[in-house]
Amino acid sequence: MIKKVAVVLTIILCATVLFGCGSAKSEVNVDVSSIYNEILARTETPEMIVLTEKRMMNSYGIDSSSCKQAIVAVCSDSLRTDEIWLIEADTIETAGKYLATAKACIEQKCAANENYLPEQYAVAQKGKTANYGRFVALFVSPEAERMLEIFNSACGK
Amino acid sequence: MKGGKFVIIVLFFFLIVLFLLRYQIVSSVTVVPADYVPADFVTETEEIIETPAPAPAPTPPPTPIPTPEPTPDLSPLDDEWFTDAAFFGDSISVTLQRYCEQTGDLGDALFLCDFSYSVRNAITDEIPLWYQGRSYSSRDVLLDTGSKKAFFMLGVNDVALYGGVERTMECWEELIAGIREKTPHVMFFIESCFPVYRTSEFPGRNNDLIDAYNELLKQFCEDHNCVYVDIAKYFKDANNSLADEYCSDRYVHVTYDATKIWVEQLRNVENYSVNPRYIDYD
Repeated sequence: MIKKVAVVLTIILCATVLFGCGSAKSEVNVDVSSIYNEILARTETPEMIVLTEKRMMNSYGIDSSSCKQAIVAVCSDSLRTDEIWLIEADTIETAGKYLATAKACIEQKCAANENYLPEQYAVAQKGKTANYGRFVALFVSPEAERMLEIFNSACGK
Repeated sequence: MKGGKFVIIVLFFFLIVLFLLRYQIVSSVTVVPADYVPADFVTETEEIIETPAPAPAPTPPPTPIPTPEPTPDLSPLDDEWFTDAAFFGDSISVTLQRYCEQTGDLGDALFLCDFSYSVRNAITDEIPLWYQGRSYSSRDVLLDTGSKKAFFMLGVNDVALYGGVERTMECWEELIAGIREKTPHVMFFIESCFPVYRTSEFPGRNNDLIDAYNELLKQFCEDHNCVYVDIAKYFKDANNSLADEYCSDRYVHVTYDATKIWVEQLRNVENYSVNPRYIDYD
């Protein structure tokens, strides 16, 4: 009897471990357009311009053919440094590459504004990046923190 | 009496005949001078001189119709022309970049602009240029972009912050030489700098100084095989300052309405010191 109980418990334990691991590894699956629209609706964002595929490539080397979905938006006001990236890359490796680009972008903004536009320098310094699996995000905005919360919430983080 | 009538009639007919004969004689006889010698008259003691028949008058050669000078093509430059153009600039040109990103104007032209960019930064690489996610120096970037036309609007930051007009012109020498060393095929188009808003003038940067700087740029272009593009004149008011309707911040930056005009005038070949259609870019 004890042996039977032990066997059943072992089976239950193994099943729990297997399913548990499976759940921990489930990927983020969100629509970036929806997140972008939610961000615009719930934060004080100036007028933004969503870059074309060509301009995404020329500016940041973001190749649309290596992305399942991508939105890169810059502020239409040339004197503001606001920027939003929401990208689902085709692979985790590509996402890693775009994450590095996002961080370099924030450094570039800091360098350009430090001795020129102190307010924009302060905004750039507080810029945020995020990476979950194939998803990469960049937020440079006075409300970068809020935008990151919205993104994290959408990704279930 | 009968005899008298007969005589009168005879005399009448005689007169008529005389009249007729006289008319014919006069018309058939040419009066010649007494010493006239016919051309074919030959004496026994004279050689026969053959007078050659006069040569027919030569047909005059056709008068060449001069080839008309070709009328230069002054039509506006289209987006296609700007496909291999790169625009270097400071925050003023970032407005041009944003405008074109929004409207699609200037086609696939590349923008290598950033806040506080300057001729001095371009040679020191304090602020690197950003292309396809990578940082570049001004001397190297065109190697990768493949651009054949490099537009520049720089100097407002230099004149005010980095040593004034004289130092800025020295930096231009170094910048152009540095880029040409790596990409000798690139043609440089240097735009005149916009005026500043009247209340933002100060001794280190005022519109008289900017005018003087632009004149030096024009001469620089002549001396260094560059093309000067005179854009600034479209944005001046009666006081030689940046016009109210074109200024976005009472400082140096321009509105989208001004940028629309900027784009139009970039397309206008008459603003160029050399018609860009007739430059060999290869």
